[in-house]
Amino acid sequence: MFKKALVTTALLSSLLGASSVFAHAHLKSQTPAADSTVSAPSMLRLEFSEGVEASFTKVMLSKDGAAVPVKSLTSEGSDKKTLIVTPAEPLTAGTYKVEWHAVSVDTHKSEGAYAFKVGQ
Amino acid sequence: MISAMVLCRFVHFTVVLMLFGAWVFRPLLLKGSAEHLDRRLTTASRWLAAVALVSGVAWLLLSTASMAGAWEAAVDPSTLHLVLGNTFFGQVWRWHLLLNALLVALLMSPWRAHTPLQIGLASLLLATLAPVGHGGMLDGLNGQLLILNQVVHLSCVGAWLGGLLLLVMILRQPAAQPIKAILLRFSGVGYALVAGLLITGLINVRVLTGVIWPTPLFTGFALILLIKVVLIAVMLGLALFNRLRIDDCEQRLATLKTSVILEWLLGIGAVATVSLLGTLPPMISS
Repeated sequence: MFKKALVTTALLSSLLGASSVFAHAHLKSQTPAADSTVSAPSMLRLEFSEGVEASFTKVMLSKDGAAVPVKSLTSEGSDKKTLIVTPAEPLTAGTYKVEWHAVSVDTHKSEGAYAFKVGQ
Repeated sequence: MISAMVLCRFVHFTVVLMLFGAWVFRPLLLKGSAEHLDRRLTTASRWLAAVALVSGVAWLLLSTASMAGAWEAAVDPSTLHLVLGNTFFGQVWRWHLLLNALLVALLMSPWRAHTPLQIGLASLLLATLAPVGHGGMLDGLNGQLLILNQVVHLSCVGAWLGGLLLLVMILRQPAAQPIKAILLRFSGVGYALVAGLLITGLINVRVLTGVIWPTPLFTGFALILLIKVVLIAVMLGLALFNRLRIDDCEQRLATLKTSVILEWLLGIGAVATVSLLGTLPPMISS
């Protein structure tokens, strides 16, 4: 009887788990700001609502659909809430899209995207 | 992957809580030796510790796969190394797994019945469960206080559930022990445990959701939380029922046994809901 109950509980809980939505760390602010037009920045700064693991967080940068190589992605010092993304080469004028896939310190995943413009 | 994670959390939390509680309550409930019970407790502990280790390792592998976004990552040494070395989860979990392995080793060694060692290791094992999940959500002093709150919460829950497990084991051989005295001892400690877990539980809800009670009531986090609270309310009802009828407990051992088992199963159900809560977003997304 005990075994059955245990198995049932476990199965029920896994069913519920499968249909849940995950939205843990979200992007609180970013530099350059979303939808802004700026002069070429040397780095992007993404500030999350909770700490994220830089080793497992991915930030993809693209310009007019073409991927822009990123040199490094690190936490800002000991502040795990802020990620610093450095492009491999200075950004040229155009519209950039930033797609992020974050893994928060409580191991949950979340993602999002925004765009900004680099002026002449 | 997510269902496997929830199942893994559930199994791991349950066995660690049981181990901790059964050992804490052993000296409280029974004075002196009880050879038969101790032998069964040792056997049960070995199983619990082994299941804890297996589910703990599985948890690490699943978390790694989940963080990396690929199943293969779970068996990739460099990714595992990255998780254990560079992530908050990994830094906690490597100690947790080490403690778990030590506990298994202890139970295989001649010192297996050494109560302080058992309780010491089980407490550390329980404490290293606190930072994973939402406990690690906040940083700085608030984060540390939330983790501390979670340690107290888990200790109360573990002692209650493990105590119930021990009580079930005792009630299966009622002749050997004066049941009423044991029940009274359990109940005395029980008041403090229930108070502790209710207070720390409410603090958790308040901190994680920012409100006294999250809404809407019947979706996601709030729904699971509601189910959990109902389970606990029924457990308290059963506990109260048995406490009020304690005077004739020895005449109705069968009912008593059934209700204690039921209370214990409800407790396990509550742990299952927690395993889910740990993976659901508590905040109303902004």
